[in-house]
Amino acid sequence: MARLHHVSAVLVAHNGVAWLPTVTSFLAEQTRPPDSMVAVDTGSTDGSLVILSDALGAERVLRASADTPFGAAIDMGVSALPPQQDEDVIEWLWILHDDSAPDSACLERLLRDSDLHATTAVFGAKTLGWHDRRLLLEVGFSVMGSGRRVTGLERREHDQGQHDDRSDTLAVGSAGMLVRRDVWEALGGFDPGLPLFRDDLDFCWRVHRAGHAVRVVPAAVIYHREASFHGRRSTGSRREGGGGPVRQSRMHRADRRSALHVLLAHTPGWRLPFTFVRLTFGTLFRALLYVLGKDLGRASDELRALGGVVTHPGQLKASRRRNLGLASSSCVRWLRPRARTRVRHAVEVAGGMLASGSRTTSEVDEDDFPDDSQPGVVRRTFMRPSVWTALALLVIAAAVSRSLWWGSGSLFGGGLLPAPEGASDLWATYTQGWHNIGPGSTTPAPPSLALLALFSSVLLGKAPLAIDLIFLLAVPAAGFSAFLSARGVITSIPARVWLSVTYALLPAVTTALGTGRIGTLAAAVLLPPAVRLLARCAGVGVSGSALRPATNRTPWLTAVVLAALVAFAPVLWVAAFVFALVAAAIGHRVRNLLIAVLAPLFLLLPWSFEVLLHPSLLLSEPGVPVLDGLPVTPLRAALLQPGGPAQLPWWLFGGLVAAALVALLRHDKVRITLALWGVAMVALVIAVVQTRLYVALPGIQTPVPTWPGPATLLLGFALVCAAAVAGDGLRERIGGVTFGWRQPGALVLTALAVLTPIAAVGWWFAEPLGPLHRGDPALLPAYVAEESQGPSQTRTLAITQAPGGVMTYTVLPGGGLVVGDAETVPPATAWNAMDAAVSALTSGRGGDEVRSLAAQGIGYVLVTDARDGDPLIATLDSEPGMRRLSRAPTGALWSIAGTTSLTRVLAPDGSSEPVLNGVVPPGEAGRVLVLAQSPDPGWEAVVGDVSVPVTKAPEESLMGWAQAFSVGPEGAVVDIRFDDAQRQRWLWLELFLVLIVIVLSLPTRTSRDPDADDADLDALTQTGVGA
Amino acid sequence: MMRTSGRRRAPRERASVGALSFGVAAVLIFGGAGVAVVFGATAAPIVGQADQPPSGITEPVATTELVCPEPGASKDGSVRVAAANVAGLPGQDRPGAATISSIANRSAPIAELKSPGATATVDIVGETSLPLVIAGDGGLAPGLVGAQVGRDETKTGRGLSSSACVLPGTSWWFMSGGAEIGQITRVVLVNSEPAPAEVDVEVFGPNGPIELPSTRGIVMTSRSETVLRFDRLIPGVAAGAIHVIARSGRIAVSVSDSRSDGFVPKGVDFIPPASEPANTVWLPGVSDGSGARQLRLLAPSANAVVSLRLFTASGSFVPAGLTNIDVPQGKVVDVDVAGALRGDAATIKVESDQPVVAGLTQTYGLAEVTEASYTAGSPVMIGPSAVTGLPGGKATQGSTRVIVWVTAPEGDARVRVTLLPAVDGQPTPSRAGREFAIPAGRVVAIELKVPPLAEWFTALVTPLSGAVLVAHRVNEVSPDSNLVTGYPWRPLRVEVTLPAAQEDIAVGMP
Repeated sequence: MARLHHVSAVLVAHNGVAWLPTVTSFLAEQTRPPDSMVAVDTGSTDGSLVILSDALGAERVLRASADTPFGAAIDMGVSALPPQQDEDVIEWLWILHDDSAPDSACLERLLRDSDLHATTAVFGAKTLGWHDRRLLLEVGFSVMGSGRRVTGLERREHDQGQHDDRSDTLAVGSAGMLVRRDVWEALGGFDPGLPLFRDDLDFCWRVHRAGHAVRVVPAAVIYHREASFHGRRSTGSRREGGGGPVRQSRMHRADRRSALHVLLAHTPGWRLPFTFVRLTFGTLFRALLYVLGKDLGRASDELRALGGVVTHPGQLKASRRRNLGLASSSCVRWLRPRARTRVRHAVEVAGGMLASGSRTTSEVDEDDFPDDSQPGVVRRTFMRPSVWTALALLVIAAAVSRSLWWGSGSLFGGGLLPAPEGASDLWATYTQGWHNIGPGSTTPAPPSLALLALFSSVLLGKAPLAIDLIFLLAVPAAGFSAFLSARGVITSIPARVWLSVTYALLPAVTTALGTGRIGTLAAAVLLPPAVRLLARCAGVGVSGSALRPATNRTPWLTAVVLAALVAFAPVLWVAAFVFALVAAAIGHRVRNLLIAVLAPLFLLLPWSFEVLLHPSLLLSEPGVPVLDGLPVTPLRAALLQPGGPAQLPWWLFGGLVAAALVALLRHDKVRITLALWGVAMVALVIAVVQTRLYVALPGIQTPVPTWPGPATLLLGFALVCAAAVAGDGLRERIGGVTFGWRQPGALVLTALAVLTPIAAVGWWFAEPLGPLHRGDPALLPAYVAEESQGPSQTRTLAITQAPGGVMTYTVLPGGGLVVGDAETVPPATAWNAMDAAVSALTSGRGGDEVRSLAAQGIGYVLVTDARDGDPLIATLDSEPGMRRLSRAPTGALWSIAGTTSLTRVLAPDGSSEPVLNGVVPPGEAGRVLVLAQSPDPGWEAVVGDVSVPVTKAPEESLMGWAQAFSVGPEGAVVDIRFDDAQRQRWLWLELFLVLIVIVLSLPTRTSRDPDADDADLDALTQTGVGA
Repeated sequence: MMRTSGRRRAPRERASVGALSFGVAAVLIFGGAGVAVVFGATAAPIVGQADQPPSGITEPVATTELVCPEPGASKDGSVRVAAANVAGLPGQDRPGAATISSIANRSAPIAELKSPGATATVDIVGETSLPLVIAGDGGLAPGLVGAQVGRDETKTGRGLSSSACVLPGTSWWFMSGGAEIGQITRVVLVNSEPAPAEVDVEVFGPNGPIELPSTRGIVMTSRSETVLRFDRLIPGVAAGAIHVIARSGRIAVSVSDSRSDGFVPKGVDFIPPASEPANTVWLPGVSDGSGARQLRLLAPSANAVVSLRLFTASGSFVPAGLTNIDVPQGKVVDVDVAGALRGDAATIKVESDQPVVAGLTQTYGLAEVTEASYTAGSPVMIGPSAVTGLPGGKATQGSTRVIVWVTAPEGDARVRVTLLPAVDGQPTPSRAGREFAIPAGRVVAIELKVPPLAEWFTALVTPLSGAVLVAHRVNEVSPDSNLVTGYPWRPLRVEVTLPAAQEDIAVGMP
């Protein structure tokens, strides 16, 4: 039975001139018009009052001050209505905003629904967008435990009736809210403690607690601009038509404060402290995320919102008092979001705060979409020249290095040691303060290891896969990165393709691949973006719209990229530094350049500190120093050849150099060409210096020439860019002038330049790849590796007879060396004593070398690359105390007699016993615990909680590779450990700095209005206001 | 220059400015690059500071341990183990001691050498004994030399036999022995170490390697001896070659060979170990006189083609018919060189395209009773070498001749030969010795004057210049057939050269 209804519409307006005409006309077209109408204007300064008076009549428009809260404004309107008259007629209040336009059937459908649901006191409409009328804004909503509004809608979801099955809901928005007048009056309307936001939520919640229901009627539609929320109001920033003077930028704070207020107001008394603590932590967490997202304003809003709630306990108390007689707030539990939704929201929120919604206008590269009309994302992706160039390079690289990708085992050889099993091993090597290499070392691990570990972690901890991928993808990735980095600078697609292919096939890249130089490979990928960013920082090439000028975040982003580049190729920091000096000297942006070049030093702490102490580290590269083909002549370096096992003809890249030189003839591009040549000169000087300078690197005692790969890479990149810049648009330019020497000259040089990468591929195919290969990485038999990793932790002395009769050796921990071990080798001085021992051992002198090796925990001696009849084998065979174990194809192995544990307890009579797992057996007095690790104050031996006193190492460990602790006659379990707190502190500092710089380099967060106004409409509004 | 290429200039002017820019830039760049490259090419390498590893330092040895594998092998004859320390060598000013002890009981020495130049003797008559170890350390390690000498005048094992006591090793080649009727070849394996050893014995015959499962993986406990007999392992095989490999641990090996025809002795001696397979092998000590001179060759790894060159007192020559000898892989090939030598003492140079091992069997006496001795591939030496246990004393006067052949294979050499008689184990006063010039490519026979007062003596050959090969022969006149023994010499263990050693992480690359 249809009931009798009396609907009074209450419209609250505040500076709504942009929307009021639409609202009033929509109201007039209602199929079931409201029975009476009243409007409340809260101090509008635009033409709102006039529009309202025209539409409703001046007597129906009430005027309130500008600081009237929304709820109070409605109350004002309600009080102007005649009191409820007929008991049989149900009186309704229809609350409208000045920016909400109800669909013509809205009220009719709301009322029809109310006929069916007698216990329901509040009905709400489906809210759609103002401009985009299919955009879903709200179909009822709920609230998270954190106070977040949950609409259950996707961002920018369009209405296709998919949510029209909703009915019962926790709350509906106040725009278009149809509420029974008696309930409104009984509950006292909106909470005056909530001046702006969440008043609707609070009210609906109270309605539920009072025993009524709240329903959303999806059939009824209202279009809502949500003007205040998106900061669209011309003056002030109050909620639709009402609210106090809250500035627009503090909208978020008010929203958060209201959210906290509502949650606390509806929490049962006994749970209040817990809820408060939870909300406090939640707020701190959200603030932290905002800080990471560089939105300090919102972070402060979060904290101040919480502070606002705390400092105004009276408001909360008042609100709670209003709720006193109502049922428990848990009656709406079934309408609150479920756990799954909450988790999903948490993830979305965190992601959103950190990154999404914060992208600045993306640089759409028009050149990269030659044929946008092609349908299909996949097809379009593969039609991009950048993608097919990279794919072609991938095919070439994979074909040349095909022997690396088939078969089992790991990739190693040249400069690359086998990868450990997991990323955790790499992380451990990076974070540990002590490395069990040789006599043990405190050499800090280089930051490239952290990047490798990070990459492995991304690949679910598969370190070997990470190494494989780097070597497989380096060439195509270098080409891809060069292609993208040339964006804007070189407009012609063929020129960019040529640039990326030639760059990716530079000898520095191909030789690095063959010789296992992971540093140069990674640098090849990072170099083009680093150069582009550094150029932007300096403002080089920015004129003529080639590159976008630097923003505030550009130097920080440059610092991050440069830090990664320098981690893999330290010598390039010198080039960057010289570039920055020169650029700053000729008046470019000093601040940007300072940040870009110096911040990497801080990001790479504590390694950069080590570089400061040992500048020769700048010339080092990650991995084992490879000397094959070094040093090269300066002329070869100038012709881009860094030296390696393959001997390319010296002139192979001569054509490229010539083309780059002639590029200076393009006077319209002479500035950028000159800048590139400046970079090239710096790189050339570095490369030439590297051919002449012999330095002692970690892991090799004699001074050796260093690999000029990264320098020739930079030289090559600069020259390739110069040639490509000159070739860009060359045809149009040359076609325009009369025929002369230019046309044939350009033709010849273009042909030379194009032939260069083709010839490079040919030679790459023809020459052997290099020492890098795939195979079984086991250097030692399984039982030796097992014992080395067991409680005795024996080491293995590996010896090779180098040309010239020099015995080269190293001391292997565990099962052998893995990635990261080559860089953490102790300094040369630590090996001097071992040099003498190895020299004596391999001489066949028959002295006590074997005993002193045993005292260093060396249990095995391996001679690699040994053949039958090698005099060295016969010598070691005749060495007393050494027992031949096997003659494997890779080498001959001996075991050493005596106690060969890393930790021993030495009795006064000279006898020793191994200490396994820290268990010191009982014995006589005066014994010492000898730890065969280089003396370092970081070592300590602890029994229980008591530190064991350090004593002088006994005579037999004269090699200086041991330290000793006094132990008593009774047995004990000793915990021997290295205190690497200092390293940890450095790493925390590094992490902190990296996070700061990453945050600074991230784009600033900007909130977006999903239902944005057209620009001209906004402009119209602005003019209107101005008028 | 960079600012001159303004955009708004007239085309004509722009072109000239462009050319100017290019000229200046090209000069600058070519100049800069040229200076950098030329300077870089001419500048000497700048070598950073580092500890240069020492190289070429020599140091006296710290320990010497010699194993005498089979003293007292013969129940009927007598065996003497003689140990001597050659005085006057570097490193002997250090404290040290040397002892002779049984492998079973190293802590209870049988005899002792107290100071440099001292000697010691262990005589075993009519009994067998465990192998003995001569061990010296400190000042007595350099110059320690030992030998075992057996003598049996009467029985089927009649003959003189001698061998040097040896340093334990892991690979041993013996290029003689066989298992014809009446031939007994004994392979004595000694593990003098405190750790066990695992040994493979490979035997080669004229038809290739002989599969003997029982000689594979012989496990020798610590300080033990194992004896293998050819006549039981490969009965009937005439020509044999033996390769003993210690798969783990290290061992000393001696091989003795005795032949008889019924009860008629045909000669006995130890077979000296041959040097490892090589493309050039030198065999010094091919005796003069009549009798068989049987060169035995084995190419263990690949088919080889071998040529010989003979060095004698009058020069060297390539014998007719002894070039391009095919030595199939793994097959023992015997070559008779007696005809080519025509009774001269010689040193044989074996040249091959593949590594070969070589040894030589020689017999003496044309009567029914014969005697044998052996030589084998030996090292060319530039340092001193010595042999001890050479017979002396009044009884030998007139009846025993000791000849040392010195060959200069590569160029003129000069050696000093010093005799060190053993008198009651006391250090003998060092004698000046005599110097001999050895012309290039010649063999010089030096007859040693057997000292009448000492029962035995040590001979020391010190090259003063050049490189030499040395071998000796002891010839005792006897009515039936002379008693003969001798073997090629090996370098005296005095000093070692310390190689430079330096750490290089690349060694750890799998």
